[in-house]
Amino acid sequence: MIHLENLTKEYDVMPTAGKPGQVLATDRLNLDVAGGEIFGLVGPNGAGKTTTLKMVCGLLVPTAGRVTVNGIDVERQPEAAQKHIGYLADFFALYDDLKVWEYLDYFAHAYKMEEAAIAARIDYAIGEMGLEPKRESYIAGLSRGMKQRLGIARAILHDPPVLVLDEPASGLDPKARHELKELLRAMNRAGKTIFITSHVLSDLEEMCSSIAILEKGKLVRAGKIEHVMRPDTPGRRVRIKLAIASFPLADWLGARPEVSAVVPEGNFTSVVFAFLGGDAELADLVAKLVAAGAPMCGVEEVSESLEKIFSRLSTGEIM
Amino acid sequence: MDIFSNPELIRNARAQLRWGRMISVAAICAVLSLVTGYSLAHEQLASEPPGQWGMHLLQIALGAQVVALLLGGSLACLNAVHREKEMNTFDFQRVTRLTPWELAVGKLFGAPVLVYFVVLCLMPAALVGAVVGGARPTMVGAAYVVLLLGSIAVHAFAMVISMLHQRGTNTAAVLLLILALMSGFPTRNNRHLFDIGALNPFFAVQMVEEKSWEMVSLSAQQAEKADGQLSLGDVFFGLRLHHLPVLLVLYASFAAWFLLAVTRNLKRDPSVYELYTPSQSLGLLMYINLLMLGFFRWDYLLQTREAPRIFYDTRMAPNEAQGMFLGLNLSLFLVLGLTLFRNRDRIRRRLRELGDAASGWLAAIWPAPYVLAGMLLAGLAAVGMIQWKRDPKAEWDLVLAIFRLGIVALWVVRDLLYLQWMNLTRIRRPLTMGFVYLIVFYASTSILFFALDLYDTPRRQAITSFFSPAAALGLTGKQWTGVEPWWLLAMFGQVAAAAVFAWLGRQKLLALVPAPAVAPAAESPLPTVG
Repeated sequence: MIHLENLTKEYDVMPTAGKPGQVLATDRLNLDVAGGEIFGLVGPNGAGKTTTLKMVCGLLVPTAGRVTVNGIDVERQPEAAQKHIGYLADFFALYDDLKVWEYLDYFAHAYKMEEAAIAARIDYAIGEMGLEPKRESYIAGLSRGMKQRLGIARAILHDPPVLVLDEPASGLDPKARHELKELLRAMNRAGKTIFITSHVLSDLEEMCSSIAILEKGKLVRAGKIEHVMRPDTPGRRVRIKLAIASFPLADWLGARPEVSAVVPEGNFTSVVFAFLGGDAELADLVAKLVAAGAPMCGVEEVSESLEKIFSRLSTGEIM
Repeated sequence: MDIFSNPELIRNARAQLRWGRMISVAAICAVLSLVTGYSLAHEQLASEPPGQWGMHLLQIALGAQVVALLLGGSLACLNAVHREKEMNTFDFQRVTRLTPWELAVGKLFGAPVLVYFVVLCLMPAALVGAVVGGARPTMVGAAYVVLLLGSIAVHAFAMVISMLHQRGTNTAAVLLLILALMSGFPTRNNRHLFDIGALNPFFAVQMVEEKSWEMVSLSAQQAEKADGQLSLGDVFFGLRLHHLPVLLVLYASFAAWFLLAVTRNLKRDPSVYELYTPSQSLGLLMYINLLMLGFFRWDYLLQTREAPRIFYDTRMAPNEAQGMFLGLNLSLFLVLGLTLFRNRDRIRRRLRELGDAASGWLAAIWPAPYVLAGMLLAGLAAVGMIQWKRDPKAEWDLVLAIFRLGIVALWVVRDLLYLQWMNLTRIRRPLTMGFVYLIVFYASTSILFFALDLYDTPRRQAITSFFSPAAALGLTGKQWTGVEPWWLLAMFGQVAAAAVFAWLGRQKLLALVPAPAVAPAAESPLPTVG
């Protein structure tokens, strides 16, 4: 659905002491976002997320490389490609002196929708976003959350197959964020492909089917969410906790062939390690450990959060 | 899509024309119209023809409409794109399916829609004035066509500025700039240089007083003293034309040029804006030159003065006429060069698309070929006209005229190559800084040359022209004869300086060549996902 090929955007910033004045906002990005996915783009500020999204929408011209949406080259046929895209920017304003329905009516006509379908589509967008009570209100009087909803209503108004959303949850309270998540899931179930960035990584972790991590314009890791979340060492990650640190747990585990990457935690009362084997082998390991006299008080399988992986990637702890 | 169903126009109308606001505006206009009308009727002098107050009312109402449309409308159009960019709403418009033309037209008429409403509210006063004052209906109608088309041309120019407007530029300052430009337009019948009537939309106010469509034929001498009188006749290459269609053609053509720049760029990424293609830019300048040459008062201005010069006598020697055209084209072609400049973004893209060709010598001398060709073409046309129309007794040397044209064209090329090089320099606002350095250079050299008496002798003038060939604009046979080698040296100096700036520009191009080859997709740091 969305295909990025060697996508590069280079621009100048003012050179300061020790920092070059030339910036590669995106550096030869290659990505494929399949139809029907929720694809999350993650990265710190300045990683190139917004630049990438703007190039996908045809708002910025890449220095090199190309983007296609639904097989249409965005740079060569921007208007044809934009027909397939609903876009929401990270920081945006609305026309404060219009009413909610007038705002949507403007964009419905600007998208050249069928005249007969416009009223129904506006009703649908207003209904989907829970904006019915505000239909006749001036935009100036809406809360931040309501304005965000109206922005999304505008993005979905012309029923595009692809939604490109830049930080749609920014500025929303937890309840509104939850509602937004549910809404995006519902739209995804309805067949929309969603290309999204967010600083709230836990939200993306719950929502996305695929994810890409950007760092200084480069793609650090990309793939299906379960692939990206999988630890970089083979096997499952397991944590064993001791009641007291009276047993050389790390040494004992380190000597076993099915165990690797042993990392002691806390006061040597717990250890995280990679384990090659199924549940039966793990039960056998635990039984041997108890038999060796370890005062065990817990065993758990460890799964890393996206936030943790992102942080470890950012610090270069893992590659 | 017709104009009245243009979504951008409707959006502006909805936002600006709420009932409350419309009633307030209409009430204010009604009160002002009534008070003005009553006062004028009350103050009518016995010596004036009956109903003259009506004519005054019409002129005041029309004047207010012109001011509203020119000031208010220009300000609204100045904000039309710029403010949307500042609010981050413009990107949403860019991703809609509105064509650049639809978006431009929607903004052109939509942004000043409240001002159009004010004009409409002042119409009753104007119409009452026209009826009472006995104005010719066709004249009043024509005046409104002038007002409307003139305003559209000015608004379209304001839209171009709005599109190019960068953050941090003061809108009021830009408005002042537009007004300053407009103040340069003849508002009355100033026919000193060009045989054409007033170009400012305020001409509409003067028009309504006219009782006849006749082109008043003013002799050359009369025309000299006719400042303030209205003549509806213009002369284009000797052909007498009515001023109204001339004015309307000029407004329409310039509005079209401005709208072309807007529609070409409005939905583009601002980093790759290009006002016109090189051919379009050249076409615009040739059109302006055609107008200048066509309306120039050849038959009068190139007559030899018999009597001592008096202050309003604008007649000129052939070389003075050429100097004037060269001076005008100097500014015009500098602007042409600016529209053709390539910034670092465009260079990077060209380097990726065209490879080595984008950093070769031909790329390094950009935009010199277009500017040189245009300057020579326009200059030769002026030389040809002077050769044809000059008084045979007047001093005129064709070779010298061509030399003068050559050195001035090279001068423009030299400065443009310097500015293009500066434009590729990685500093804040490189072009502005380039202009600042250029102004400092010319100011310093002028002061020094005056202080050192370098303008005193022909040889010294030729030497100064190595740095600043301004003296070449008024170069006469006396100043040329005997010091030809020095002048040729000054001309060579322009070529040498241009070559240095082209070399510097090429270094900038080479510095932007991407060092590593673009890696193929297969060598991406990580496998793609699907």
